[in-house]
Amino acid sequence: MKTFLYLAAAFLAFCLTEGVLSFFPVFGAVANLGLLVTVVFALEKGSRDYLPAALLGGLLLDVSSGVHFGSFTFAFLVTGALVQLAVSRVLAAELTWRWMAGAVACAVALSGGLVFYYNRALFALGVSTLDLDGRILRSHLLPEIAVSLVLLYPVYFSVRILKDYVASLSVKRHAPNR
Amino acid sequence: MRFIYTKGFLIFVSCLAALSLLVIFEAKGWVGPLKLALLKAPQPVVSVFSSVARPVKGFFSTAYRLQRLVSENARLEQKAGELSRQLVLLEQYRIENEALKRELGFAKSSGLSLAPCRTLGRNPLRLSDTVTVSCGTEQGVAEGHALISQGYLIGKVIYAGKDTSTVLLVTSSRFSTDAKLSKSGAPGIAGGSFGTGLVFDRLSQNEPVEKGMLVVTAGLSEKVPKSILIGEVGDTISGPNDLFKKTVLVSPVDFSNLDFLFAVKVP
Repeated sequence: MKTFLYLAAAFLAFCLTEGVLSFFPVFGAVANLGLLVTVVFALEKGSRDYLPAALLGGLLLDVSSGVHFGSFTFAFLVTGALVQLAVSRVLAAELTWRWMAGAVACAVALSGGLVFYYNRALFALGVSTLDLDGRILRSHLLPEIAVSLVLLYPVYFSVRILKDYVASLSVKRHAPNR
Repeated sequence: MRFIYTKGFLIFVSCLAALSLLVIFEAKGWVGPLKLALLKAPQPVVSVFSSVARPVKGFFSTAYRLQRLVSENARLEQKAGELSRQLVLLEQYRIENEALKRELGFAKSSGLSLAPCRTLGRNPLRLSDTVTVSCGTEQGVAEGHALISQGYLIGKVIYAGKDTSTVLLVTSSRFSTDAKLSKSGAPGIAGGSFGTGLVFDRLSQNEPVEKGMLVVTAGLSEKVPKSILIGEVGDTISGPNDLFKKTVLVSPVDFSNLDFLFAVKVP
């Protein structure tokens, strides 16, 4: 049930990106809600909840973006894992909004770079016919970070509500029978 | 415990391994049904969201362009009158041409062989200037085939799967095709340019070019037939000392909002 709900969240994030946010680009850049959801899931210490979101969100973006299959899935998985590693192993203090904003900014830059070099490598190997233009990525980077930071707050609270709901379901299931 | 011995790391590596398998299967063309399912599954929800977002965007963009629309309307009205006069003339030429063809025994031209396609993936993040369309090798579409919308060239197929294809748009800096000026037949190269959109390049400096001249495909490539409209000549962006003349090309197609397209099949 938990995994299903997290997959549904990733699916909804993709639909909102394609159906709403893609109509309102900021300096050509569109916020990647799938990545934001993955990062927010990965921000919880010791949690693996980011994996279903990264897998489904990445696969949906892969097929709709025209990039080589696996680009976004690979980028989301690696970015989510690195955010999770940083939160679990490096960050000693409590997670603050400043840390979260830093994590999101780094995640946007990292995932963009991973998508670009993944496609570049496959193009150089002759596997892919699409050579991405790095200038598009560079020109989108700052606006995408800005819109992602604006959307971080609503996404974080939506994910919190979902996690609380999942936790309440779990409590109900494990409650002793009277 | 070290990170690499944790269960989380094991699951992460398993996900990467599964992804690697999918990538290999994709290279072999075995994930076509999965891709089609992933493309079609969000469509109902996306269309509901789009039906709300599109009018909102339309309202704000219209309000923003209102001033320009008034002057554009006046200019277009003037142009429509001029084109109506030209249409009458062309109709006379057509009748005359038909009669001459009959006289000379020419076969009636067959026109283009088109396959209708629908945009499935709108490339929401706009990273690659590509769109995914709903026609593939099953519909006779192959890599290199041209796609048109409203009679204008919009791109070429760079990957043709069984039921879906990826199209590189003409606005991409990676796109180029042989082209010519419709009026004089002067050859050049049309393609995308980062920051400019569409450009017509490699045109001889001696060639007179005016704004509004039509640029069409030259037909040198076997997979793109000649005389497909690419756009109208806009501002000249090269200097008099440059080796070649380079102009902006203006296409009326809204490349960020493509819906129905036609693939031009070449046997």
